[in-house]
Amino acid sequence: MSERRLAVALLAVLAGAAPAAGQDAAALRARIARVEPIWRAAARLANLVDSTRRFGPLDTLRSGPLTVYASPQLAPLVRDAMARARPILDSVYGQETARLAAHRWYVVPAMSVEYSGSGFVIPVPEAPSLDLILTNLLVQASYVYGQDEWLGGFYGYDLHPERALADAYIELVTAPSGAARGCLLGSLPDCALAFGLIPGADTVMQWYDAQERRQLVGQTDFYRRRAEQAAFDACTAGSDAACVGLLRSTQTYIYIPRPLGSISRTSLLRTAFQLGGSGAFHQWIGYARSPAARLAAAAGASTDSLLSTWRAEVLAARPKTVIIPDRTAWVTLLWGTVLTLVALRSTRWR
Amino acid sequence: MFRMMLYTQWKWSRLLVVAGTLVAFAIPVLSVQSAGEYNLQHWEARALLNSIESWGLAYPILAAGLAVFMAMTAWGPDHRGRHVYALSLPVPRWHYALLRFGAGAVLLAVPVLAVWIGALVGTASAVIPPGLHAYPYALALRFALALLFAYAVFFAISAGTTRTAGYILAGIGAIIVVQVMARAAHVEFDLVGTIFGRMLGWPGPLEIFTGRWMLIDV
Repeated sequence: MSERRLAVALLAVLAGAAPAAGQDAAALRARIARVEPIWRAAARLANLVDSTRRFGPLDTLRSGPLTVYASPQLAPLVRDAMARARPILDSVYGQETARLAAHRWYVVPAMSVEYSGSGFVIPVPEAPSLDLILTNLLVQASYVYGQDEWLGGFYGYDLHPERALADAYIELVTAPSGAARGCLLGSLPDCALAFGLIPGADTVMQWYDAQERRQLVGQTDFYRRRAEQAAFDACTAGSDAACVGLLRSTQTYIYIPRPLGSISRTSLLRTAFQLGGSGAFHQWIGYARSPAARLAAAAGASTDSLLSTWRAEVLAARPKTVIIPDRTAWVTLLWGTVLTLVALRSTRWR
Repeated sequence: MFRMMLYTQWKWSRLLVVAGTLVAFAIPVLSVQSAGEYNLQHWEARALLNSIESWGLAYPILAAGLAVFMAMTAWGPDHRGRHVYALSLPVPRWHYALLRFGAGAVLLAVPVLAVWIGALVGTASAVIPPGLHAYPYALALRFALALLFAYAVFFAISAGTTRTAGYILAGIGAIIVVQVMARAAHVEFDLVGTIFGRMLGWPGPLEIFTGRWMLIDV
């Protein structure tokens, strides 16, 4: 921290430290709470001043809610990137793009940079591409909306949504869980269960059957290292009670692997946004409700209807295997025959 | 006459056939070495499929490589001998070319068999997680068709005269020149990409080389 920032922070603390009658913890906490916003504002200002000093003179570029400080030589490229980012951000976050206005971006030549606390830094190489800046802007914009616990990550723009559906298909067919298999076969309650959309569900018992629980414990290093040897041995030897006990006792330290993880969940959320249209993202992050209720609100449809649409999309996105379609086989044989006939008609006279 | 043709072609290309056969056997076996556990989490399944997919490029490359060398070997001695041997035989030209083609195709069946056997061995040695399947027959069939088609292409080119080869090269050169000129004139027209895309997509001749060449897949 620079001398200036230290001085500002110290002044801020002193300003809030008026003589007090008592020095008990509650009074101190209240005083700290009063001073904290002042300190944060001062720190933000100091950060900005530090950034300007560190990066040299910066141009200020604005496009809708986006404010980007960029080195003058990078300004034209950054302006183009911002122009391309805006419609994308609008399509992903809708009215919630307004939240981006509270944040700042710095696009500066690559150097040893730290997150400044008041903005995002995009360090770029000597000859950066527009795509590099655009991608960083889009990725960092997703941080503004925070991580979602149910999703298991940030939600942002996906360059290849069709690949995401194919990945979701792979997750669906390979998940070692009865709930996921039921979903694959068409049971919507199983889909809801595998997605963790049923409040109060006993995930240890409902996501996995006895054999799957045993394999889960046996194959996860965490249990091997942490578990009591006797319980671990009993579980891997076939005692389901031991497996259930182990999984329940460690639930506070480690998540039980979710049958359908963040890949599938992101694709489900994207399906909900497609159904819900503009304003769907606002519905998703707007209220503190259960994930199922938020998804239904975002989609503007029932959870069952959403799951049914998602399942149909995922099944349609099944990756093509090595099996040759009949038409491809026939066309290949036809081309081969034509070329062979061409060779047979070659002349022996050179 | 075919047996004699086959024998001479075997003598010319045996090193190629033996090396190609060994490689053809090894690729499917090696591609599934990372398939060792039955129950996988989704990220492990994804990693397994990625690993198998990364080997997938080896099959079309091997097919194209074998086809090029077999076609060159089939016609090489004729070109060097200025086709005197072919002229001395009491068979029409088309018959002679068909014998040469047939002998090469029979020899190329050996690497195809090797892919098939290697795929069966790989399938037997791998632990295939639920939800995934092995495709040894489909893989061998795809390899056979790709190899046969590539052989037909290069055999036709090799059978032609220098003038024919010149025409083909001139055609490719003309496409590149048009593309360069269009770019210089700021015309947004991707001629090379369009032609290549048409050849790789249905009903293009190269479609057989595209897709996922994976012994184990969803």
